[in-house]
Amino acid sequence: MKIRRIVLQGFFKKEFTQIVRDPKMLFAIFFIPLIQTVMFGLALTSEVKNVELAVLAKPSSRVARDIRARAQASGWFKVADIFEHADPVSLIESRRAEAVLIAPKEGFEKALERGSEPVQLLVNATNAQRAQQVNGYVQQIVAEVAAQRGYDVSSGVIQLDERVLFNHNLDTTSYMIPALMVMSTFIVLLVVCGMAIAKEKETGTMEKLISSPCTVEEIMLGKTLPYFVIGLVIVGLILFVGVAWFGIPFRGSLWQVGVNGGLFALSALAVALIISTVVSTQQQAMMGSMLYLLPGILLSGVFFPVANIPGVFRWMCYLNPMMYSVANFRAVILKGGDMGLFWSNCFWLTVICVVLCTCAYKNFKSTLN
Amino acid sequence: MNKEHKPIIRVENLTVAFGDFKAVDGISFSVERGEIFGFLGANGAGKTTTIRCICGLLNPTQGVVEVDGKDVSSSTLVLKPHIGYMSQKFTLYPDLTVRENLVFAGSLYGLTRAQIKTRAAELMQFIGLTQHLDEPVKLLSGGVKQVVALAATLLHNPDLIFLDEPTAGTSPATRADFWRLIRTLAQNGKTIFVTTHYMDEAEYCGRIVLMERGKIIAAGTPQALKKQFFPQPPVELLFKRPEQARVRAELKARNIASAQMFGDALRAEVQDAARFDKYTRQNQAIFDVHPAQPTLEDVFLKAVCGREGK
Repeated sequence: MKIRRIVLQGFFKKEFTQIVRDPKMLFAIFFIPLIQTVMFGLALTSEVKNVELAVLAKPSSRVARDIRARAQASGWFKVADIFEHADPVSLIESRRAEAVLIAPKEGFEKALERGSEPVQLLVNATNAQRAQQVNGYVQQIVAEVAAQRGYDVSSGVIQLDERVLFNHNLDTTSYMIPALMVMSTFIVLLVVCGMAIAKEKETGTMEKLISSPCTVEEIMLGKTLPYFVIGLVIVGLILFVGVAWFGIPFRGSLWQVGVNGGLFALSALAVALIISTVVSTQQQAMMGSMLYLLPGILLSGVFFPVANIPGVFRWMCYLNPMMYSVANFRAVILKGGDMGLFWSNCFWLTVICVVLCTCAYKNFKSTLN
Repeated sequence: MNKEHKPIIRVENLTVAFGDFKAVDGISFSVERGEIFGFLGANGAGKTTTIRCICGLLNPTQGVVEVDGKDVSSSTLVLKPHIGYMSQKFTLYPDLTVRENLVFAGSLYGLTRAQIKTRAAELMQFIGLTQHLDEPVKLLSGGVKQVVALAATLLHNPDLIFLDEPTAGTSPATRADFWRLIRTLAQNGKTIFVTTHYMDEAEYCGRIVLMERGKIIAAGTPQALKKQFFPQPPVELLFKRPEQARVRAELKARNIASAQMFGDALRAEVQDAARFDKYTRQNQAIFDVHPAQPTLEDVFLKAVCGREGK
């Protein structure tokens, strides 16, 4: 195995010059991951927000007013109003409220004193998931108000003991951005590197590479190492935007991000190499990348928890390098130092990388046969 | 490379098959050091496939391919630094400048930046393109692109140079320039292996091989080939009165000669000299007879027709 520095330098210079000179390429490499980060950070959130709550109670009720104040302060509710006389069903039907909390006849105070009086909550459940969350919010608020006012509600319906670890606000942004660091980068590397190799074949420049005294190793490294560097830059870019703009916590260390990032970038490039050995045009390389990416993303845990995926498909998750790196970034960034988990994920990633790289190496030919 | 008196390329019984199709079918030839060796044939005759085998880009299905006495498939990496291959496909990067293309091509051969710089300056002088050095290749005209591709091929100063249809699709002026460069290279001791389907270019070659459907149908110097296929040189009939069609039909019908239109004239291959003389005397008022030189085009046509006639 002969690898000359001068050859790799030549490749680096050439690949980067070609990228810089092609605005479409620059756009694909840096702008698309950024847009995805901002989209997932700002808009695409599974969190339930902007709930309209109505409380049916006497306006003089202290508890009702506390509930309103807490609801408004929580950030989950858009409005929270107290109505003395209103028809709860028509409030929901007219869409003036999404949830209506109805005080018992004698008022919240009496009911809470007794501790076991049911308090009715009407929720518009046309969206069941949303309704469940709204239900949870209201229960939590009522429980907090009761506790604050010194009522003992331990035996009643209003009984909540929920603790959320690592992501206290159950904030989807903090959860999604570490996954995006893998997903966006993987997409870019697979598509861009795969197409760059296919382009050499399509235009005939591959013949020039093969007719030169470059070894297979030099051509493979020369065509992938520049993209490896680009991959790490994208990972860093998304992490930076996540921390600086969206304020996600960063509890791990940078070297962990580097190790995990390097390993999955390597796996992405190995897949790109394998695809490029079986295709001969850029269009085919694009198709090949898509064929890998769709199941690759769905079975990576980015959107659907791996634990919820049924048996046959879960096995495929375990073969997917994205799955390990997503888990690792989430753990490193949100949780910090669980070294056991980190190294076990890294280990499996390495195993997958070795297998993929061997396949790529075996298939990458130094002749046109 | 050592300068012993041994052929620089030796091909014996080379066969390359893609599935059932034999692109090259059992050919043998050798190339001497310092000669311009022409490889002629129509598209699909197997020229490029043969070159790819000699350059180590393709493994032969059967046969021996030796360069400088070494088997190509087993010592590819040793031989490649001495070989320059200009592919039929355009192998420069259009988005890079001429200089950037040369630098990259040089780095593939392990040349340092300083070496590339000196060599590029020399080559640009040689091909006369100094003013284009910092232009993106995609903005150059077709002919200039080919010449730049040649420069990229010569960058590492190879002894054996393969040019696969270097002048295809370029203007006559560019072709003439290109051949001037090729001759200069040969004078400097390089071995040039060139394919073309322009028969007039083949006249510049020291020796040529004609290929047709994977087989060699003729080989030798241009002069020898002309002698071989035209033991009697053809004659040209220059007309004083426009009766070419009638004369041609008569010559053919009476089996005196086969004639082809050649501009205003007829070019005839005499089959029966005595009767041809008689016919000429009878028609003195209509045409004059002049001796003519057969071209390689004629040779090629005859060689191909001869095979198809079999």
